[in-house]
Amino acid sequence: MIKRLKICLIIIVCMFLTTGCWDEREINDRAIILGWGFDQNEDGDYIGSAQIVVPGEVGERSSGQGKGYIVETATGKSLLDVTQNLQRKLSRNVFLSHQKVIVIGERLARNGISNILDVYSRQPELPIRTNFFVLKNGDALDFLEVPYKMEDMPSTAAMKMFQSTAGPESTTFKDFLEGASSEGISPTLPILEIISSKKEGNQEKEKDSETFRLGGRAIFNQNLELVGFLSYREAVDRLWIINKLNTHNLTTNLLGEEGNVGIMGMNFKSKIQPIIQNNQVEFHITLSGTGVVRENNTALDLKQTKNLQRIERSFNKNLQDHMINTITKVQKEYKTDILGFGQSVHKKYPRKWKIWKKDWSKKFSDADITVKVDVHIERTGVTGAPLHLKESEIQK
Amino acid sequence: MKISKYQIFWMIASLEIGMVLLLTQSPAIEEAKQDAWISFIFAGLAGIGITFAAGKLSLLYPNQTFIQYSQSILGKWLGRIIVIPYFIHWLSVIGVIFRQSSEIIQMTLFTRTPLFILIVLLLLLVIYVNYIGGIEGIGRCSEIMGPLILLMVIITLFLNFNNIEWDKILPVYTDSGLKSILQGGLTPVSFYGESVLMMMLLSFTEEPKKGVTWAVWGVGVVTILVTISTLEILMVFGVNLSSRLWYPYFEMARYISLMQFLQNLEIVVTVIWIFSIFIKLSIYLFVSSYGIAQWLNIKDWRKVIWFVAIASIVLSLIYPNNNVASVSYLEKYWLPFVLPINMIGIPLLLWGIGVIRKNSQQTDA
Repeated sequence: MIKRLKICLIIIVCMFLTTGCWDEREINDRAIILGWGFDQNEDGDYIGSAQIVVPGEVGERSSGQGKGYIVETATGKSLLDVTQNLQRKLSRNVFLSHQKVIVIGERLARNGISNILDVYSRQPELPIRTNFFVLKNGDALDFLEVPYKMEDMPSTAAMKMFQSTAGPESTTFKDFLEGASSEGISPTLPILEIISSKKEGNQEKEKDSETFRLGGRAIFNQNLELVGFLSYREAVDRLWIINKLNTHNLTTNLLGEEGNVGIMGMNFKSKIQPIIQNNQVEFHITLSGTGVVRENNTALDLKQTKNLQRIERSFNKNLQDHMINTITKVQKEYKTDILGFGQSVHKKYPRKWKIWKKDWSKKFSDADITVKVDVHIERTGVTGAPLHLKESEIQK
Repeated sequence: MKISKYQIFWMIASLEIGMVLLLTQSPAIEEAKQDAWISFIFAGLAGIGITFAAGKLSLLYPNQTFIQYSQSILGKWLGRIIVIPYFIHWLSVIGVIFRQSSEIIQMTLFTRTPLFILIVLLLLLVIYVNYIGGIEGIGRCSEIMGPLILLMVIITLFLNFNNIEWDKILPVYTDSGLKSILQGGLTPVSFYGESVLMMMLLSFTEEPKKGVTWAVWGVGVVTILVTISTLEILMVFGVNLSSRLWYPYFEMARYISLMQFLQNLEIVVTVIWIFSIFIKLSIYLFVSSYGIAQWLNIKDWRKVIWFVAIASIVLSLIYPNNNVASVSYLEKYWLPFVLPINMIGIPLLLWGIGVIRKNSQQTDA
């Protein structure tokens, strides 16, 4: 009898415990946000804009109707406030965990973004592996409204563009936080630009022909205010210096000769050697990489070793000049160490660094640099000299 | 109730690794900066020392639990008094572990479920394994779950190899210095030292001598894995971020992304991590129920489970927020009292007196 009572009791208890998930939220009760934009208005309030998936219409675009997403905006004092206000416009629960791309408008970036970052690392739903971008010359809202045709969700296109152009995968936010929280390297973010897709430089902006492209790099100071931009090519130089450049195509004019040569560069490595003498720091930067010739618009026959050496020499010289220009620009114009030179001092001269880290940006902009580039060409493709040239035109 | 030497290994390893990975890395990195991994090596050695001492002490009376042999060594009354700190330690830590683990489960999985429900569900499970299986049941559970837990840790470490930038741990030593490194090791030692639970468990093993060896191995394996994971955390997140993240190891699990599709593994990690908490709680519940029963000469130790269970619910809910439960408890009670007294002081004292008594008994005889 008692045993039966016990069993009954257990069954009753189980009935209450196994009624289903307490936290269940149906997928069609969620507004899944993939892209998020941040701007600031004149009053200093934040404007958040969200690109929200409309589940029924994703993948049905071929039938001609519906975009698969909607864009909504809301204002507020902080991200949380913005989300709360956004919710008032949405019939479904705002769901932030799938944010892949977060775009910051240029005005907000210039005013400083330190007030919007904390929420991204504090809330466990928000992934630390997010892609942050700065939108040059515009508001983030404009970006979210660009009808990018190739992807179902336009904002994911930005992420994929970044990954397919030699950028490291989805680490921009973590790298940014690392730069912001440590001395010896300043944070940067990649840039997006809205352009007309038909003709570059076309002033007439038609919505249909609008698209966006990846720009260079936005430079932030230690207060997390935007101070300047690097062009795309300069950003590549920076990636090379901080050892994060993957494959990248490089083209250069031949020294003292007509034409240019293009290579697919790989195995990019860099070595920063700080040398301290008389309380002055000097940096020796050694950059190396290997390449495969992909395009040869010269008359050179690449079967000849001396011609290959000539190409290598041209590459080394031109890349070196460009690199020095980039570094000098960062040093003199922005006076912000985004290249990790401070960290190299920290690693090699830890004691000196303790004294120096206070006014590092000054030391950094005064430092002398020497750059040595060593690109080694490994292969030349399947032809020696260009096939369309006559025998007499080929330069042996 | 008997457990095997391998079960001792799996019990010690799985009860230690869960909380060590969750709670010790952030404070250690905050103190010792990028040299925190050295702190973990020191801490591991100290932990092995504590385990070894507790084991040697228990081997003096291999058929008695700690509650019994403390009376054999110190006499009836003194022996009973000296175990009181342990009851405070065990009961309070059960409450804290319940609180912290439910807090994590709530944070990562069930944001709207009341904490109380999570605690009660976990508690029911723990009571069940104790009531039905006793230490034997717990031992078998750890034999199954332990390998899973270690495998999970190894897989997380492995999947993060592509995110490593090894030069983030430079410069070694100059930024912290010996004092900071040792200080950083303090929190980990206090967690490794939980292996003093052996004093209660060893009398259940079939071969007590080998049991000690395997327990030391348990701490050793945990030390190796935790040291590697600390190194990896530093190399993935850098020193500044990882000292500020509450749970850097979990963050690292969230950071896994392999070939664009192997992502969001933190749920798997959390679920397997709950195994470790389950084993830890079961062992603590067993030890305190069994200990109290022996202490008060109660014949059926299973009756005490209910008392401990209710006490632990109360003790888990008295903290106003998770800061008090994890940070203050650690700083105000665990480090200044439990580590020096319960883990080092009393075991060494008993060992010393016990050895002297044994020797004098032998010379008498």
